Amino acid sequence: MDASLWIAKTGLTAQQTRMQVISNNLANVNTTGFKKDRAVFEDLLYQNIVTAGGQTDAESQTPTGLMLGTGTRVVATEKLHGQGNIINTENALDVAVTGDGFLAVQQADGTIAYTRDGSMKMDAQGQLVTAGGQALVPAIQIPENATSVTIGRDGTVTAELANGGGAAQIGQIQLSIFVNNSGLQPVGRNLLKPTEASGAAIVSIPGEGGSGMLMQGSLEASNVNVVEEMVNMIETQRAYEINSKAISAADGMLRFLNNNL
Amino acid sequence: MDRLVFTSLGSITNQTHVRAQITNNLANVSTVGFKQSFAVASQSVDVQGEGFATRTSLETVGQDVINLQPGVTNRTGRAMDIALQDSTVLGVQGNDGDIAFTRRGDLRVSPLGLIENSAGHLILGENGPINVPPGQLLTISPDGSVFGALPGDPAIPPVLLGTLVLRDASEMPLTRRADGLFEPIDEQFRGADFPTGPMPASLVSGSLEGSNVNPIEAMVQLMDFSRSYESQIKMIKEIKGIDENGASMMRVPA
Repeated sequence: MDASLWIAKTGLTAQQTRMQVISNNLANVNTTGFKKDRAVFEDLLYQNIVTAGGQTDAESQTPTGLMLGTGTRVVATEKLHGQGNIINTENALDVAVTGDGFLAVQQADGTIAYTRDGSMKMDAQGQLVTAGGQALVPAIQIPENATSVTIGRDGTVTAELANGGGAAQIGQIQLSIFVNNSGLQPVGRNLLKPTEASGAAIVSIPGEGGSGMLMQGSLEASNVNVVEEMVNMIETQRAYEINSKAISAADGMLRFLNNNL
Repeated sequence: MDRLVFTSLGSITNQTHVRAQITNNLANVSTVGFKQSFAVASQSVDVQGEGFATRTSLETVGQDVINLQPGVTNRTGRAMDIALQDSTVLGVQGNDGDIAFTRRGDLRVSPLGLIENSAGHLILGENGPINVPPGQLLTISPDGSVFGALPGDPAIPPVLLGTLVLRDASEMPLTRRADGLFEPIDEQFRGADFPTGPMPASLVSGSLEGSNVNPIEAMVQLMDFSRSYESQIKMIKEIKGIDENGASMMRVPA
């Protein structure tokens, strides 16, 4: 059938995918530590109709070829790891990462996942865990007689002990950085997993080796910009309409052909 | 059958190519750095044969020259998004190993620590691919120099990691490769680097260039071709009528 029908169809499919990405961003506008996604478009392979350099006669050649495109596709969705707003919560166990770096958490299956969501809690054993109940790596145990916990900008965790026990350093929060943050695979629940594309985690003390710092009593909000997403949504909607117009134009032509011949 | 019908058919077949190209432009209204081609050129060819020399048929000729007119630039704020200015093109390595050019400016760091674009093409530096050590905060200056700094140590000045291959193509017509990248039309520079033009090659960091397809223009063209198609079909219908009349006139009465 008509090639333009299928070319326009690739446009519709790609815009549909982009719409999904935008909706997901908007749905996560209040998710702590969420990083927005961006749909990456790419033009598909070209069909060679007239080859460049073909002889038009004995003396001359065609200077350029005729390449017909075959449409577009969404080649990837890319997470944009820009800094989200820092929101002050005054909760001693909330930490926000300012700059590059992820907190490592232990998964039930023994693997390690990474997160920017620093809203930590204490579990029944006094261990620092994420909101999802996963223990921080390396583990930090808060003594039972601690009256207050201080987390320094460099990740040192100190506890003030009751009955004049003084301050004691009880652990060190570490940050993991990756060569390619965008290569991390989101697995839901605010967690990301390393892949071949992200490279292996490089663990460091906050503030060293290019990693960011920690901020106690704060959380990092989602970096979704609502206005930007709305504008993207309008653009996507219009692009979708244009492509469906192209389909209906091709459809009209084929109908005319069927009715008249 | 009358030869007239083949003239109409030839015209429809050729216009199909043009419609495919317009639809492809429309499909790529959201592709970063997409450049449409100048319209497909058609030429009339005299058809020799018996009878009067009245038949000219339409033939599509290859003219896939990239239209480097800038697209709309959108501010993204991401340091590794670059929008190339004027007729500047960025040197990348195609999957076949040849040097090719693109207008895509959504750069990222590959797992091997080299700069590539979102389509996975390796970005070339003046001295080979650009290596980025982990944890570096990248800035790209308007002349294409890539600087890396450690965010924790403001005292250490940013280090020059490499320079992007920026070329001004205002006087170098480019054509498209099968993978969508551009290369010079000139045989001499095909698959290779070419000397930059007289305009300064520059970029703006933190922005992305969209597609330069004008949807209104493309829609109007599409309407135009739809109507032209209908006229050709009408023509074929007329010829069919003439032929039928001729056949019925010549029918031997029963």
